[in-house]
Amino acid sequence: MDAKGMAGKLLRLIERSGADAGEVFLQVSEGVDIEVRDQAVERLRNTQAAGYALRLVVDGRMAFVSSSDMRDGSLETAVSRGVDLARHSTAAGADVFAEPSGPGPGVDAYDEDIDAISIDRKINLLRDTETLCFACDPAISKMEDLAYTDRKTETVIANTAGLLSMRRSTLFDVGVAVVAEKDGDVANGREGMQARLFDRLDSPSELASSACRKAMARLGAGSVKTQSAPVIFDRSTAYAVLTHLFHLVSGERIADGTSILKDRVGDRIASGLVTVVDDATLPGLPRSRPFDDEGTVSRRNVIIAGGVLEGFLFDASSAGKVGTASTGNASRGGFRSLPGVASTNYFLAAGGLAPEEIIRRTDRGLHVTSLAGWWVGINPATGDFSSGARGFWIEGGEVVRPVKNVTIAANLLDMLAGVDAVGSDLFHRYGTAGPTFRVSEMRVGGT
Amino acid sequence: MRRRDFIKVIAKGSALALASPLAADLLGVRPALGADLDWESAAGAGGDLASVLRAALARGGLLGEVYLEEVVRTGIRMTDGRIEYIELGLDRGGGIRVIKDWKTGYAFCDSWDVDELKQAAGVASRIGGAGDAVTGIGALDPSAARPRGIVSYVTDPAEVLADAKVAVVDLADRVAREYDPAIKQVRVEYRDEMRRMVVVSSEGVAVRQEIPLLWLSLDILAVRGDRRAPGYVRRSSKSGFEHMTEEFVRETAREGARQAVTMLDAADAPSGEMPVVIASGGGVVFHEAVGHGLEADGIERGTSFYTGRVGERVGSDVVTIVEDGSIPHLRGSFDYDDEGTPSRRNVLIENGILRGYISDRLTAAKLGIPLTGNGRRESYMHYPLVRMTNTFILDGASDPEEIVSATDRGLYAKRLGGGEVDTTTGNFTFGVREAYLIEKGRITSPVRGATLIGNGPEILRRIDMVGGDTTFWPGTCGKGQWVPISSGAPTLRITAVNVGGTA
Repeated sequence: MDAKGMAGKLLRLIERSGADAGEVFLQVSEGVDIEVRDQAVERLRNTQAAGYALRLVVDGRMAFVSSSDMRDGSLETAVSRGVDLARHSTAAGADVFAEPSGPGPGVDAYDEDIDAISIDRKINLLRDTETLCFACDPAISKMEDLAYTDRKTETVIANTAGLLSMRRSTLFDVGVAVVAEKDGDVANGREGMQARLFDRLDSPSELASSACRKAMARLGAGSVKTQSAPVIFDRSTAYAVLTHLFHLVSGERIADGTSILKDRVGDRIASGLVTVVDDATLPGLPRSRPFDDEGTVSRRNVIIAGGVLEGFLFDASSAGKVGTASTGNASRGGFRSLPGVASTNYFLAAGGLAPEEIIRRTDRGLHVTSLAGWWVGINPATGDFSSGARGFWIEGGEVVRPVKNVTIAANLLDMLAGVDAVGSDLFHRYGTAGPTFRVSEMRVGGT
Repeated sequence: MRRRDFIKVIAKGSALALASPLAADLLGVRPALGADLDWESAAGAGGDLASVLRAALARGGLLGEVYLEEVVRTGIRMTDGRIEYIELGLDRGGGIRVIKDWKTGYAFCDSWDVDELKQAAGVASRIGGAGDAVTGIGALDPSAARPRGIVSYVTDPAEVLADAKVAVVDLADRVAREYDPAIKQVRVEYRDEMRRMVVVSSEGVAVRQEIPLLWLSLDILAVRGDRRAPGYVRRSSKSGFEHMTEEFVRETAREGARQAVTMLDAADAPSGEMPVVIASGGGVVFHEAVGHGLEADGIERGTSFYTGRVGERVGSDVVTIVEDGSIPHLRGSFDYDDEGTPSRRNVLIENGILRGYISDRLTAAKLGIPLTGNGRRESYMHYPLVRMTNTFILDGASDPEEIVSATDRGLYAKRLGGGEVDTTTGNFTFGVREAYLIEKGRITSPVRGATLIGNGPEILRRIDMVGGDTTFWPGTCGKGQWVPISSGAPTLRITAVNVGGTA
């Protein structure tokens, strides 16, 4: 499909419809999802999808329409229905459309070789991973999950302010989960990652050994006594704390006044070891893009620098409400979703300590390697956080036993202030990432 | 109160147009299945859908299936009295599934065009090895699958004027705000959907169905002095717009406001192991921590705790768990599932004994177990998977008040939040939005920040009292795909659960 041509056609329909302003977001994607089991392809889904979303403004009021139906008559119906809906809206829509501002930075988000990667190569990535998982240890009894996904996406954004931008991207995703059984105990281990370039994915042996190591280490886990103790967050769990922090710095929560950080810019809110950044311009990372889903050019946004709150993340409408500019953080979950504020490559900056060194410097505490229910365990009105956790108990700087069925709890801001060690092992496996870090004290609930 | 009366009542306060025959032209989408596709002839032996099925099975296979769908949805969000967005979604497309050698091939297109469907069928047909026996295509009989009235409606929400929907969010916002001066922020979300689908398969399935869906939720913040507390409520049903009565909207808004105001006085939750009484409606724990383990795909893979345990005792004798997609108008209900199987009641655990699993066509055939009507998909872009519908603990013999008074010290979990479960082990974690201490057999002060941590199979054995007051709570279940579900439970007591709190 000629995506630019189709977006232009929709824009002309908007201009003729009686709307005062409008925006077209059009996305065409294709790809494949593969699941392998017992060396054979168990499920294969071929995806080829296209659709568009319109934002239409009439008398300063805005409506949103989306559709996958690209037939000529349907396009006209959608535009006229949108104009009609806008009249019922009170949503302010005057200043949400990005002005044209160039193509944005080169971010290395497209794998030029994607069409040359054969389906067999993708299948073999999973087959080899499965073989290597079962070879890791006799205790590895089952594969719980083994899946590969890729997408090639073309996105066009056009609006009546004169913007017409197009970007191409690729995204590869692989995940493996194994089950280990020994002496009547069962544990699982998961590993996965996303990359813009196929060759950046972990090799089958890296995926298999990491998933199996996690499962094996969790066998024979017990609980601990309820107490207060230092908690080390493994780098695979940093995303949980960062995600809760995101909701406190999201422009939507600033604009509606519900964030407890809304009046704290310039304040020290975290330990001096904490620097948090959102940066879609870093080349080749899972959320790299030249411009956001409203067409605003991407930039580097420092949220916390050395413990001091520097700023928030905005899309155009939340920025408009507080009289600032978009930070390029508008995202859509696809053409059917409204744009909203989302993080991109969002991370806790690396510190200077090797993760093993952080453990060695911990006299007594919990090393958390997996969280459960973390996303429900937050009270956004207070920052109180709690979550189920698994990991290892540390005594005298050494791992002494695996731990499960415990809870950890503290206030999120107290946790940020209590960060007393940050590891050097930052690796962007997903959009949200962090290195290993330690919080000086949390409530650990066990027996 | 009937919807028509409601419209009259709210029309007094705001200038409203009544739903009229013109509504469809202005805002509604006419049912297109009749207009675009001559269903009876397309599904017939010489028709277009039969020819797509033949393309799907061109390289052999156990099952070829065509699924066509059209969805019209509306959403309105109001934040602090202003409409933040109003949206309309129009989707149509078709998906082709081929099962060969127990493997699934799937492809879809954003259209009902027969040539495009045949092309997708060609892609899906490439799954599995060559040289399979070709299964014949059974006779399709569109008259066999009649509407069963489980998700019947009077007023198609897609044909209701936007004015009436704006009036709903307006009323909810006002009622919540007027509940208490401490209510400072109110966000109302209204959604509706009309989904029309057709499924035909080489096994002779030929089903056409219309499914309406309504949603109303409120996110509320109460502030008093330096204390802030959230409240949240949601209601959802597979009903026409006639279900959005004024009393229903008022009751929903008051419930969200009540929760926020109550939790203003909450102290930090205790931590440690203690008896927990889960109030009526807390079925989500059993959906997550037990129900997922009874889905036949996990059984077939051997990754579920419940594999090979049919006939064994898996819970205390007061526990009976039922899965039932045929309860009228519940959020998880339908006449036929997305593979065309009629929904039905399935008793999974009876007085503590495991009786069976829920299945879709693939797992039922592979395991040799009955079809239970649990083959569901998110949309035409997705293949069916084994999914729950409405999952609940059956009413027991205890009086809910007696359950509390028989508990010396513990936690009363009135309204649960979201949760997470590891299906291999059944370990779960749940947030509790609204909780109270139980002291000397009485519900006393509210507590905040409580999480419940435990193991599904283990807590089924620790349930010792079950009330007779089952209610359902709507949810959206994720398993790589999202589907609407509900979960239900009466008031019940678990003798010991690990509570994570901050005190």
